[in-house]
Amino acid sequence: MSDDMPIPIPRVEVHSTVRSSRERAGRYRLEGSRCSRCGALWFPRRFVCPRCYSRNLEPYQCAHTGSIVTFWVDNVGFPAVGYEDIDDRIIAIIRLDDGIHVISEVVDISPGEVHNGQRVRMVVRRHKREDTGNWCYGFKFTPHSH
Amino acid sequence: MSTKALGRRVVVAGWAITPRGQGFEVTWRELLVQAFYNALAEADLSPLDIEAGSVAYNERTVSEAALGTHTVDVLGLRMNIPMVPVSHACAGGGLALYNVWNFIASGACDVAVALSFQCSDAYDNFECMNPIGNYSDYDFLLGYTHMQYGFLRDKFYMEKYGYDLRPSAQWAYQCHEYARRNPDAALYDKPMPSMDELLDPGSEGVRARSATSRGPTATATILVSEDKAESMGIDPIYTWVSFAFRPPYIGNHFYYQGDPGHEAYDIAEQPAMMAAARKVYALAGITPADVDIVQVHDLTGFEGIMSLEGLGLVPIGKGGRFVLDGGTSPGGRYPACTHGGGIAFGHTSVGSDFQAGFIESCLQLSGRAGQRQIEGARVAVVQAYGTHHSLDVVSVLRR
Ligand SMILES: [Zn+2]
Repeated sequence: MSDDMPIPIPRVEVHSTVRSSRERAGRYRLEGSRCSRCGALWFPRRFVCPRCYSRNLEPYQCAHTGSIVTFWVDNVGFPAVGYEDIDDRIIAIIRLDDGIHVISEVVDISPGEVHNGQRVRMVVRRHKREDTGNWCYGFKFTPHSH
Repeated sequence: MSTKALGRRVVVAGWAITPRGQGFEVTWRELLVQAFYNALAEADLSPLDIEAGSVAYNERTVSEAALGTHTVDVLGLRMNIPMVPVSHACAGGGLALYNVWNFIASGACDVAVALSFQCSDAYDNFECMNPIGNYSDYDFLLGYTHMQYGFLRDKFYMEKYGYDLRPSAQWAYQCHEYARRNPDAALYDKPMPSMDELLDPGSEGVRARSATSRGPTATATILVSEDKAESMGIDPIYTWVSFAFRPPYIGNHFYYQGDPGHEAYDIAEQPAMMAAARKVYALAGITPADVDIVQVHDLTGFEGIMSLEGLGLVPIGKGGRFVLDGGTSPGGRYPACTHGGGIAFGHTSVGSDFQAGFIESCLQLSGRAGQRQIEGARVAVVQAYGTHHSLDVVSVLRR
């Protein structure tokens, strides 16, 4: 620990910078895969289509808007390292408007205001530290009024 | 579905789980020796009788990269026997048993041991479990683990089928009651919680309805061929094992399009468990109507309830009602988690989540379950999962 790095970084609880970097398109803009043969959409990205077994998949940017299917307010005392300072995190399953389901955090709203069916849109926010100590960023969701 | 009958039936010859309350000083090597040699004694076999094995561990907690050789070495076994390591989160013990079952059913050998252990060498227990998320590139980076998935799933199940907290509290209460009859359970000598505590909607209640830790634990189960069992004079308990997957990414626990068997399901159902159950029932030649007792992997009360549904014992969505009506109590149709379950026997991940249920089934089927004995039990089902139900193992035991 140092002044630059006030939060301890246990080895098992951090992600490698290399691995984070490789998935940056998925994390920053919800890039998954579209099967060029059968048209199926996938997130996370894939290298073979499990529906038609084509290996011809292209990058596909998932819808950035969707609706909350269900959510959980995470405040029961099992915080993951990197998130201990955040009370009442809202963890949600979101059905994107193209039908893909993702799990993410909903921000900019209090737990009492969030509800199933709520419209949300993707934003890029801070995640946790990588093993170099850098902060990792990626998608989260915020309420979307229109 | 292929349920091609394998040539030979497989019999349980011996089993052991290490005592609860192992302290900080215990090492994984010491735990494995305890479990293995107690199981050998139970089976009245010599180390020289062991022809093969499989050992389950959590790669987050033990840094040895070649665990098979370490295991053969620490147990003092002959260096020419195969020992196959598996790492598959909490289901690892089930996969070790699956390997060993196949060794014997296929005729490759007559006596083999399935081992599993949980002992955190480098980190405390909870730290080790945290990284066991389902899809590290996404959900783990958000700080999500199987625990968050479990709480989210429970709330979804309650919303979907119109339950309040009572079924989960009732499940937990019953686990505590069973555990007070099992000296091996983590909470055996602790005070019973009240129903009011178990119904608390706050964070204390969530924890009370969730699994407790049993601490460092190892298990060993020795399987033998039917011929070998006969020569040993064993009153046979036969067993069959199967497992199946669902996609690991939690978003894909909702209406996954990649497998026709999964399109209809969401996170409140467990298609991997359903598939594994169907397959193992066919192998064993049973139906749910034949089942007498069941041990499931319940990190929360609702998870235990959903597992009754996934195993086909209770219709989907009806598990909560079944538990409230006493269906899993000692006199119920399917007495469940009679050792105390994850909630009161204790959760140890790889160390025993599967094999503790398997061992409890052996005790019940052989009439040695003491004050928690379910009279006349002849067919038992055991289930455990790894990460959030991306893998489910199901076993049938029949006396
Ligand atoms: Zn395709």
